[in-house]
Amino acid sequence: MKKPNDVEALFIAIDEDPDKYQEITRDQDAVLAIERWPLIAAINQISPIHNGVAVESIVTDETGMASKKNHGQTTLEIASDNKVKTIVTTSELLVEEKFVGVEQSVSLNISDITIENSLRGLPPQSNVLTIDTSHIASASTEDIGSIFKRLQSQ
Amino acid sequence: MITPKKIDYRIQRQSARQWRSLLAATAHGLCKQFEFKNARPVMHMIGMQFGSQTSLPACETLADLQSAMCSVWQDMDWGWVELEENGGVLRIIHHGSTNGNLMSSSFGMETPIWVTAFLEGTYQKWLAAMGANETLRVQQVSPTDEFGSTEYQLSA
Repeated sequence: MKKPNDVEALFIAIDEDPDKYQEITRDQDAVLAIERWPLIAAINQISPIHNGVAVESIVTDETGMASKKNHGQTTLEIASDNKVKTIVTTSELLVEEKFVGVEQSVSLNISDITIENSLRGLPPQSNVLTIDTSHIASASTEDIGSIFKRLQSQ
Repeated sequence: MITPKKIDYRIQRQSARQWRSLLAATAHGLCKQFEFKNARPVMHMIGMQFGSQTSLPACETLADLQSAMCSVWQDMDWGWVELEENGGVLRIIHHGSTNGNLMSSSFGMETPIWVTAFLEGTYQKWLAAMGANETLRVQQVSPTDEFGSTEYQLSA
């Protein structure tokens, strides 16, 4: 998105770098989307460099001893028919990272419906056309007649 | 307010294409008639007719009524509704009323008026059938947002 000139002028007026301008709400929306849709979360963890590459971390403990740990492995393989073939994700604390080579990929043959359900946060075997009513807020269990009487007296 | 559930609901739906053309032509044709310059009363009346021909089962509680209404809308793939008594009014919040491109292409430029007036009439009829007397009226109190959410209120 193009930065409005007034924002840029404001940053300059207070001796700040206009490039520090950030769309906070956009970041919040992105976090919400990542929490909601697992496949977006998986894709989000992949940078072009990380895709298909095993990542190792060097974690330093309290004694200063360094140890290697795998972290945040995320592999997304796209088959020739543009179907997602493999998704592998783990997450651990990242302190320092280095690339150690190409990870051996495993084909899981994920079906289209599984991917669709993943996008919607549904269990893999769910029928995507099942009506989900869990988002509808519960209404009062009070008698309707007494509610109408109360409204009429307002 | 945009919630992930509203996005989930929207992703899975779109209106059938033939209805877009038919309804757009109908709306345009009616609006060209002098007596239909104001489409709102007409659509309110049609909504009441819909409420009559789509009767709800007997309901004891507000929760029962909400469930019965949602059952009709979900069967038609026309969103869902939430009922809440608050501040001396009964809030009727209909979500997902604009499946797919219904809002933007089926009724043309006047779609927001046509659809909301239809729902207003339907809720009026349904609530009257549940015992709300003629002093209680359903009125739209908010415009429809991009996810098809519109608030109506039943009040004296």
